[in-house]
Amino acid sequence: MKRQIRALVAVVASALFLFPLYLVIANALKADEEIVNQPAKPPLPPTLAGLSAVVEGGEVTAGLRNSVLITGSTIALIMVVASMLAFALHVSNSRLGNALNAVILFGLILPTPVILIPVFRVLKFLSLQNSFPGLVLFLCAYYAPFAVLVYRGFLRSVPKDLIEAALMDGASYRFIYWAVVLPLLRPATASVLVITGVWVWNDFLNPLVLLGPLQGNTVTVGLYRSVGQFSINFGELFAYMLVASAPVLGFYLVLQRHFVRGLIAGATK
Amino acid sequence: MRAAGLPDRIGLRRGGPSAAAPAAEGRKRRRWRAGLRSRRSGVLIMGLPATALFAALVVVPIGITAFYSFNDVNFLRDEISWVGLSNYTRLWGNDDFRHSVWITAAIAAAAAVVPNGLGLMFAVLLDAKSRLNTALRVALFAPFVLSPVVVGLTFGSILTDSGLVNATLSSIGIDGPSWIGDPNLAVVSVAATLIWQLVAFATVIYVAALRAIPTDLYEAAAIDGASEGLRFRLITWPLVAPAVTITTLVSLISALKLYDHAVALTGGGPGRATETVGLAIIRTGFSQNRAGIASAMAVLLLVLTAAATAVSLSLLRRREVAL
Repeated sequence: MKRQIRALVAVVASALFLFPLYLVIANALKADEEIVNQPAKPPLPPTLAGLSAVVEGGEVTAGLRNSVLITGSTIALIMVVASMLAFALHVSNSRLGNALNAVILFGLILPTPVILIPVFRVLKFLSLQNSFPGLVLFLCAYYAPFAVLVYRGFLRSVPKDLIEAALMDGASYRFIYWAVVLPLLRPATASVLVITGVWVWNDFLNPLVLLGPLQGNTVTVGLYRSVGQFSINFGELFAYMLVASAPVLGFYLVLQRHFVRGLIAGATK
Repeated sequence: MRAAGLPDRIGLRRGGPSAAAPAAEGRKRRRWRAGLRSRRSGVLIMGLPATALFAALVVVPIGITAFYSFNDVNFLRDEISWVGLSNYTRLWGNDDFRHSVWITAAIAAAAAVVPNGLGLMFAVLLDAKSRLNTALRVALFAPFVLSPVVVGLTFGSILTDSGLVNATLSSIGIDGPSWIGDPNLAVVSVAATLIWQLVAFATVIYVAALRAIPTDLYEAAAIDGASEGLRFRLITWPLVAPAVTITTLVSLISALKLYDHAVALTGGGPGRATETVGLAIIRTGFSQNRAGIASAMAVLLLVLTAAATAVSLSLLRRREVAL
């Protein structure tokens, strides 16, 4: 009996909490008047009017393509450079390495608004302002500390003896990294991939400032920019939001185990 | 983890030759250990790409921000002139900026407390092993992966004067307030938008923390006749201390850099009522092209974030140790 009450409370509390999420999904499948007059009503029968209007506009597909490109290249680059740095810090154990580690950890608490003005100047100096590569390099630098943290957490479970034995056999560090450590780090890589992938996909302020309006929007920035245009038509706004959210929601549902494990690995150390 | 089985194998392999020729093996090991030390510093080269990126696009910009904060900066005319501390003294007398600092701190305080409470509540509710609870746990984390812009716009649609919240209130005879139009309530609404996502994060962390508590502790306490409330106070609460630490830190840092949620929900309005420090920096630096003042704000935000993190980390860690 007590168990059932507890389950009931859990379901009711979760339903209340998840209600905004329900709205994002349900209202994307409803007609405009329905959203305004009966926002909580389930989408029965569902209509694809909003979704097809948004997709036909063409802007969403361009935004999705840009987001996939930026997110994909950022996480690919982060996986490589962060795992190498984590490995180097793990093995070297020198004073220089420890100092570097402290500086990198400081990056975890840094709010982006603090550095965006100079980042724009630095990218301009490198002739990378308002460009995809410039944005990707910055996102990689900004999210690398978290990836390094996760990799270092997992590296602790790789026995030092394993690396020492390989060294004794004459293997170089580069070889050990590729052949011994990287395969063992696969779960960490999966976590880094999902978590930074979701963050980069959802990122708003960085692409807004660093990409500028002329290079095409990511899907998140496009959503924000279209709010003025769609301010009356809730049907298209919710459809746009679902299109922008569906990839991350799907990504999370499929790889949810890695997501949670990575956050906990990053969080507890 | 796959690595778990490996130490034994290597131990065996190393044990073999050294048992046969202990002295030679010892010399060999000493030699490679010495070689190892010199090669160890060389391995740092592998960290170079990440370090260079981080230095160029994070560390150097922090330095430039600090430098700009002592200057009058005009990018349009490409002029930079030293003004000493005057950007900071101007901020001190600026009521709008004081308001920004005040609401950012208030939102951070709420964010440090509420997700801890609700996250722990959800985790305790969903602790029992059942298929329902597993499904709910997966669903409850979903808000954390949504874009803050999506969350802000969705909350906006719920909180408008004729939105769902007020429609529900009026159906039970209450005349709902203006959640986004009223300057004070708008701050509460922005905070709620952020906190909604942070509760999802906290739930995951607390679920994992509860899992790590050995069940026989509860069984022993139950046998001794401890009530459910007492068991929570004496076992659960002390043992989830690390989860409290991490939830509080992540929430604090997210609140202090708050930007996306506020832009999507209120755009900083009404007036400047919900202009967080992050919004103030971007508006002053980019829209008004006053990078000097904006950089002084940025330095203050960075100092505030570092101080808040350091203080809460030391307080919470001390609590972890004391328990």
